[in-house]
Amino acid sequence: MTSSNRFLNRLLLVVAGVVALAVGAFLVVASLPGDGGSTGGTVRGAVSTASSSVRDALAATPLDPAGGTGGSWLAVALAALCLLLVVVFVVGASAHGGGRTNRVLVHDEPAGAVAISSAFAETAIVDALERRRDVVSVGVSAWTVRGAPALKIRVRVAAGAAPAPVVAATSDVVRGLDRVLGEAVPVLVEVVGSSTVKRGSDSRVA
Amino acid sequence: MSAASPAPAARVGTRPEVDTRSYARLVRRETRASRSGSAIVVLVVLALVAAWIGTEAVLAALARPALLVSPLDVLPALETALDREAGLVLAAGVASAVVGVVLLALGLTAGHRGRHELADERVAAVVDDTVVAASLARTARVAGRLGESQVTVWVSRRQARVDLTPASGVTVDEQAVLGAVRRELDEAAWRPAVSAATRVADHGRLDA
Repeated sequence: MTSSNRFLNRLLLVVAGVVALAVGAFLVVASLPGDGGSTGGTVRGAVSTASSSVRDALAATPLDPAGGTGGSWLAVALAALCLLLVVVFVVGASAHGGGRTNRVLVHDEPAGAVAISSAFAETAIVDALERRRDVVSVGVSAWTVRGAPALKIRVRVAAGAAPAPVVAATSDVVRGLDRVLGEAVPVLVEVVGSSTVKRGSDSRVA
Repeated sequence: MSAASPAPAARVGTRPEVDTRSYARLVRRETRASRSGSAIVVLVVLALVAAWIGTEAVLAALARPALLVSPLDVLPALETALDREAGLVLAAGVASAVVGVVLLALGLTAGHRGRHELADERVAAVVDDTVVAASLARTARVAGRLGESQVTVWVSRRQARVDLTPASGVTVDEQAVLGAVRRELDEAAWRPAVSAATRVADHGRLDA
């Protein structure tokens, strides 16, 4: 339920994949044996043409027009571009996750706003569900989904427990919470199993 | 104190309705991979490469010796490599193409996380396939009077396969197991729907 932009994730992967595939195809074609007329030869000719034009461009753009030391200012421009790209990539990488909130309900009244902490919903739901024998543990977290708070209830069930009754019981508990809050919050229930290293795992001893 | 104001009482009495329109999106996001991990790896690698190229570019602008190779010499170096080490260039090209195909597959496939949606009027519910499998395995054990090591269940997106290993010399009541598993699957409204199939192993086991 994080607020990561999944479309951008996939777009980035597709674009990076297409670029890597194109570079790979170019290198493979360029290394094909053959003379000037063949595909490999043509690509190699293009590489040397590009190479000499880059050399000319570097010679034509000195950093110091008086002819002192130092290279082309194209290198400086490349460095600036790379700095910009590093900033963009680092910001993009750190923009993932997030979206947790600690408010389950904010109600504006004439006398002031009433905010109900997500810890209230958490205590109520955990207390109601953990008594069940088929439930090993319950975790509740509040997230901002499309600008409004939503609850995520993660229920860890005992090995072999039927999930449908657990979901029905959770649904009942949430209905009770609705009546207490006076407003229905979107709720996602996630039923997960017990792994071998956690409590309630499927024991070899039946 | 005794005369409570009617407004809150009325509000407590009514059944608040939840807006379930956002549930489809919630469930979709919970049942598919976000691809955040892969995207972060790609972004970090790209940031490192850009930082290295930037450093080399600064060194080249100052006419200092390069750390590994100056980005301005890439095309001449490629020209030389194509003349002398075409096999190396071919290998690099193949490696790059493989990385590209993997990234494209990550970007375009659905990335199902092995979860099923369970229909409910109030909440959006997703259940791990392992939970469904464990529950079906218990049902199968009870219905077929089998031991823990005699039943194995696989749950995929649209099918649950129940593998039964009979004890040597004892037949397994396959129909009873299949009926019980089907009944349990029908009781809950799974999305996508799961069909059941059983398979009995050809050879029984003594220790089963």
